Formats: sequence, structure tokens, C-alpha cells
Amino acid sequence: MASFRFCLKSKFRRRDRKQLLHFVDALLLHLEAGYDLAYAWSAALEVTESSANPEFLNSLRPTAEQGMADLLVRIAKSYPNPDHGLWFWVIRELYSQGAGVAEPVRAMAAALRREAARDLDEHCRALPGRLNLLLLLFFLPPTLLLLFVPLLQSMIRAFSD
Amino acid sequence: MRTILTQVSLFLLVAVLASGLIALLSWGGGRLISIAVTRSARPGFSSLKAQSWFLAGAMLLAMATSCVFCGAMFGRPAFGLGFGFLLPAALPRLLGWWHWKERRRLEKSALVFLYALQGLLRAGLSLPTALFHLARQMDSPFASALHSSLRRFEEGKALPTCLAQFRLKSDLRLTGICLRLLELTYRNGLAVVPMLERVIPVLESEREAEDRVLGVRKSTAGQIAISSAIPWVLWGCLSVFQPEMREQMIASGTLLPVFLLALLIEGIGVWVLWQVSAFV
Repeated sequence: MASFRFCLKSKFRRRDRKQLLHFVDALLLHLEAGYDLAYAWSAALEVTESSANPEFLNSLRPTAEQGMADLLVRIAKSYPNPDHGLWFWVIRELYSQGAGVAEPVRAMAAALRREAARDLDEHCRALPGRLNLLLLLFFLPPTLLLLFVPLLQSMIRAFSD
Repeated sequence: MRTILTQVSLFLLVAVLASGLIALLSWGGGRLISIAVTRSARPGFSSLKAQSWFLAGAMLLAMATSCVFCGAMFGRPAFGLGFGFLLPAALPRLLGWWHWKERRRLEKSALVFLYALQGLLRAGLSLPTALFHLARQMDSPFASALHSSLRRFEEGKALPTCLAQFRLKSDLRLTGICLRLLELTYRNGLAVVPMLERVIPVLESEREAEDRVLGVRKSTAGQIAISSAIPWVLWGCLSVFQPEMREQMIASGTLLPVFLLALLIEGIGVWVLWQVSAFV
């Protein structure tokens, strides 16, 4: 049960990271095209709308009359993964000081992509062992069932005769 | 009691056979349609729509087959119609799978298209000219799909509108974001080449990761297929070399329950293995 929960947790963590990565990629591309953070943010939300889940999008969406700095503080405080939430603090700090935010967003995208690649490496490394165990667990019993039931029946018949 | 058990077992066996038939027909039909669409590249021809029609046909055929099976086994062909209510449950999943395949096909060919676009723009062509030239000349799913959307440009629509329509219709993920950016860049009169220079590496790394995940899943599917066939091959050997054992199982009525139990364990195993190998 614990292992099942762990699998689900890692699945949700990967899904969240992928959504965030797509959002950050979209944000970065808009920033690099020369748009300001507020416009790029809303445009990135709009383009990731079809692929991300509504809960994730709502967590990034500004409420009425909420400025970019407030929004970034809110996200940094409430983001489920504190490691990723830290990036929003950095962006907020630079934004409030009037510095360019394209560089930290690019670094964030690169860090998320590296994290995803590391995770994929780990998944590929661990998969053969898991698969072997599960193949034995689920495909050996049917083999034994199909082979030994007729033999057992023959034996029972032989003993009863 | 034994008669009921046998009838239930037969009914379940028919269900498994009908589902297998649907899966086989859908897969084969999907591939044939995909090849036909790629070769013909008819503008405005929606592959997904054609595949939906094929799926409906496959479902009808499977229902007819299950009616024939039920007629032969229980003397009541109407039992087969029951699958007509069960099978639509599988429809959204199959359509979702086809939609994913279609999207992947487009995204895969989009990278080559963007490389070619970058080259033409560097050579000095304008964005509409380069897009039209590539959409007409390139033999790829992305180019043919874009070509059908760009026809509206000739009818007087603005290029960003045509690109937006194409993006919404094709439901592309990261490539969709890039297309959206292309629209914005063009609309605001910004340079497209520097934007493409930044977009292409992002798309490349995404494609690389997706290909790797797909490779892992394909090898897992191969292992599952071989492992699930082994018990049946062994049972086939046993029944060929020891036919009296098989006859004894049929006579005692344990053949179908044992078969179904083996199928059930294998089915659970296939699902668990598929979930474990997934990398979301």
C-alpha cells in the first residue's frame, strides 16, 4: 500500500512538474520575444490552458486587482513543492527591483528540465527490476494454473481409482 | 450450478473475444487510415473523423460477431447486443488514444518544418511566403495539416488568424505554444528568426524526452506480449502431447473457469505493468 501511495505521489509530482515546465517555457518564450512579465504571464496561462489541469492554472491565476508582485508572493507561499516555490521568490525579488526576469525564468526552465531528465534516468534504471518482479508475480501463476490443474486432476483421478 | 457457471464463463469469453476483435480492428484500421491520410494529404481531410467512422464500423462488426457467437453457444443471438451497451464505454479511451497519436504525428514532423522555416526566413523570405512554400512543398503531416488551414489566407483571412485556427484545431502542446508565439511575433512586427532560434532547442529537448519514454513503453509492451503468450503456448503444447488431460478438463467443466482465472490474473498484470512503466 505504501509503495502504491509512493507511485501515485511520484506520478502527481511528475505531472505537476510537467505542467509547470510547459508554463515556464511559454512564459520564457514570451519574455524573450520582448513582452513584459504581466502580459507574458497571462499569455502563457492562456496557451497552456488546453494541456494543464484547472487546479494548477487557478493557482497561477491572479485574483482581481492583484499585482504581479503580490501574485508571485502568493504562489511562492502556497506552491506545493517548496523547491519550485523558491523560484517564484527569486522572480518576485528581481521584478520588484526592476531587474530583467528572463534570466531567472530561463534558469528555472533549465533546472526543471534537468530535474525531469534525472527523474527519467532514474525511472529507466529502476524499471527492469520492477518489471521482472511484476512479470513473475502476474504471469507465473497463470502458467502454473494452466499446467498443474490438469496434472492435479489426473493425480486425483489416479488416487481415487 | 455448473451449467450457470459454464454459461457465465462462455459469456465472459465472448466478451474477451469481442474486445480483442475491436482492439485489433481499431489498431489495423487506424494504421491504414493514417498511411492513407499521409499519402493522399487531401486538404481539409480530418484523419480523426475518418478514424471515428472506422471505429463505429469496427464496433458494429464486433457486435455482429458477438451475436453470432452467442447464437451458436446459447441459441440466443440477442445476448450479443448487450455488448452494444458495454462497448461505448471503451470509445472515449480509444478516441483519446487516436487523438494522442494524431497529435504526436504532427508534433514529430513540426520540428523539421520549423527548421526549414528558419532556413527560408534566414534566406530572406517573408513569413507568409515561407509558410506557404513549405506547406505546399513539404511531404509531412504537419505541412499538409497547415496547408489546409492556410487556404483561408488566400480567401482573405489574416495570417495570425489562420495560424490560431490551425493551433486550436490541432490541439498541439509545446508546438502549439510556439505557433502562438509565431502569431504574436508576426502580429507585432517583431523578428521571427531569433524567436525560432530559441524555440527549436526547447522543442528538440522535449521531443528527445518523449521519444525515450516511448521507447521504454514499447519495450515494456513487447515484454508483456511475450510473457502473456507463454502460459497459453505451454498449455497448447500440453494439450497436443497429452490430449487426454485436455479432454479430462473439458469433461470435468474446469477448463473455462481455469482459462478465465488465468486471463483475469494476466489482465490485472498487464494493467499494473503498464501503469508502472508510465512516465507522466
